[in-house]
Amino acid sequence: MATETLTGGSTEGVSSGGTRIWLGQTRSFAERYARELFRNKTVLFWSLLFPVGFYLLTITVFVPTDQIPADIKPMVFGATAISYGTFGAVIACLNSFGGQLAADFEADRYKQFRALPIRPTADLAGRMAAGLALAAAAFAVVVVVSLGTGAEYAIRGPESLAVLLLALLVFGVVWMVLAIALVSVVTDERYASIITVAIALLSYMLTGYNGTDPASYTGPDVLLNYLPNTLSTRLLVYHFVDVGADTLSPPALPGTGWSLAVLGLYGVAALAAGVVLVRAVVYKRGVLA
Amino acid sequence: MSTEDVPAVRASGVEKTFGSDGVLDGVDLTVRENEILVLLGPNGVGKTVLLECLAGSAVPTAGSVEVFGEAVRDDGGESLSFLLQDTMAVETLTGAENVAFYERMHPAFTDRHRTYLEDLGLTPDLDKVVENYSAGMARKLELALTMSVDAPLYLLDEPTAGVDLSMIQRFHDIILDRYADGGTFVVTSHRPLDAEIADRIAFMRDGDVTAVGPPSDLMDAVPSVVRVTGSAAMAAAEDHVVDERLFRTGAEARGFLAEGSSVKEVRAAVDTDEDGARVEADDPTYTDLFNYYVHLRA
Repeated sequence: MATETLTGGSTEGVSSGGTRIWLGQTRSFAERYARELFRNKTVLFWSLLFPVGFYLLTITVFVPTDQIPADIKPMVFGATAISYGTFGAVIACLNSFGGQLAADFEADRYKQFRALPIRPTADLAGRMAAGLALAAAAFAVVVVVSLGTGAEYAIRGPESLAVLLLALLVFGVVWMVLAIALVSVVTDERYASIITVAIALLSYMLTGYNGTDPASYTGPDVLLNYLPNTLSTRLLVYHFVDVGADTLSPPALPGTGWSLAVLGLYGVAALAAGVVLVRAVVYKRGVLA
Repeated sequence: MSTEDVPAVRASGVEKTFGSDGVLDGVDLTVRENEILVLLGPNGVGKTVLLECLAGSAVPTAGSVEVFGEAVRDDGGESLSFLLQDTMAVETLTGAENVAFYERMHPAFTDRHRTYLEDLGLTPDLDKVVENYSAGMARKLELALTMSVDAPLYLLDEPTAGVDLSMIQRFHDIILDRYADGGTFVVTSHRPLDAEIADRIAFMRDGDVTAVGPPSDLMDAVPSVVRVTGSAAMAAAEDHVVDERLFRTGAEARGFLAEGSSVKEVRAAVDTDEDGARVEADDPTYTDLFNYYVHLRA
C-alpha cells in the first residue's frame, strides 16, 4: 500500500489541525443528515406537505373569508402562513430531527461513534445544520404556497432580514435541543415520533397558533412574548406582514431589540444544554473533558 | 515497565451488567502488540460487549481497559479502528456516501478503501443504497472502511458474518495486510475458520474467557479426535467420548476420546456390519477446537 494517502486530516498538535478536523466532521455530519432527511418521504410529508395542507385547509374551511374585508385578507393569509410555516419548522426540528436521532440510537450507531475520535459538538453542529435547512424549507414552502392563495408580505425595515434569520435559528435550536432531550429518554423511534408530533400539535394549539391568534390563547398573555415559539412567530409576523403591533395583542409585541435579546438568551441556553446532552448523554463523555 | 512490556490491550477484571443481567464476568485479557487474537465463542456469550468495552464505546461496570498503556476512554479512539457489525454502514446512504462520511470521522483515515473495495468486488455497487446490499456486501463495506484507518489497533466484531466462504480468504488477506504493517487485531467470531489467521485464540463462554493460547498449544491439549459414520455406530460411540457427546457435521459425527478410551475400543463397541458404519481417528480441526473449548471443557 505504498500509494495510500491520509484523507482524514491530521491531529498533529496544532490547534488549526483540531479546528480543521472539527469543521470536516461537522460537514460530514451535516451532509449525511441532510441527505437522509431530504430523501425520507415520511419526513418530507410531515415537515413540508402536512403544514401546507393544514394552511390550505385553514384558509378554505376555518377562516371566515367572506367576513374579512378584501384589503385585510392578504395580511390575514400572510399571518396564517407564517404561523403554519413555523409549525412546519417545529415538525422538522422536533419530529424529523428527533426521529433521525432515535433511528441512530435504535441502530446502535452511537456504539460505533463513541469508539471514533469524533468531536460531539461537530455531530451536534452538523445535525443542527441539516435540521435547520429542513426547518427553513418547511417555513419557506408554506410562505411560497401562500403567495398563490393571495397572501401578501411586506418588509418592515432593514433589520427584518436579521430578525428572520435569528428567529428561525433560535426557534429551530430550541426545538432540536428539546428533541435531543426527549429522544435520550425515549429511544424507540416509533414512540419518539408519536410523542414529538403530539408535542408539536399541542404546543401549536395551546399557544394560540404559535401566538398569532392571542384570542384563542387561554394562558397568561405576557407569556406570548416570552415562549420561544410564540415570540419568534409574532416577531416574524410583525416584520413581514403589514400589520400593527396591536394586531397581535394582547399583549402588545415588545420592541424588536428586546425580543431579539430574549431570543438570543434562549439560543445560548439551548445550545449550552444541547452541548451538555450530546457530550454527556449521547457520547457518554464528560461535559467538559 | 519498559515500553516493550506495554501490551496493545489490557483488560483487567472487566464486568458489564445491564440491569440485573450480567454479561461479562470479570474478564482478564491481554493482547500483545502486532498480534492477531481471535476471540471465539457461540452467540450470546458476550464477545461483542467485551469488544465494545475494549473500544471504549461501552463503559465497564467494573474493571479497566487500557490501550497501549492508556485508559481507553482517555485515548478517545485515536489509537484504534473499530468495526461493530451491522451498525457502521448507514443504510440510507450509498456505499460511496458512507465512505465520504467516515473518511472525516478519523484523522488517520486513508484512501486504502479504494484498493480494498476493488479487491472485494464492491466498487461497482458503491452507488447503490446500502439498505439494498446483502449482508455480505455490507460486511465488505464495513471492513474496507475500518481497515482504511491507519491505526495501530483494530477491533473487528464478526467481520466475516454473512460472508460467503469464497470471500473469507480475501477478508483474511486484508487483515493480514495490515498485520504485516505492524497492526494489532482482536477479532471476534463464531466461525472456526477465522482461527486460521490467529496468533492466539481466546475462547469465551458464559461471559468470561475460559481458554487462551496459541492454536498449536490449544490443539495439543485437545484429546484425540474420533470420526464416526452410521447412526447406530454414533449411538454406540457416545459411551467412549468426552461428556458422551458427539458433534454432527453432515453425515458424520466427531468427538473426543474419553480418558482411557481408544479408537480400537470404539470400533469394538460398534457394529461394523451396519451399512456405512465406520470409526476412524482424525487430526483435530479448528471446528474440533471450538467444540472442545466452547461446549465441553468446563
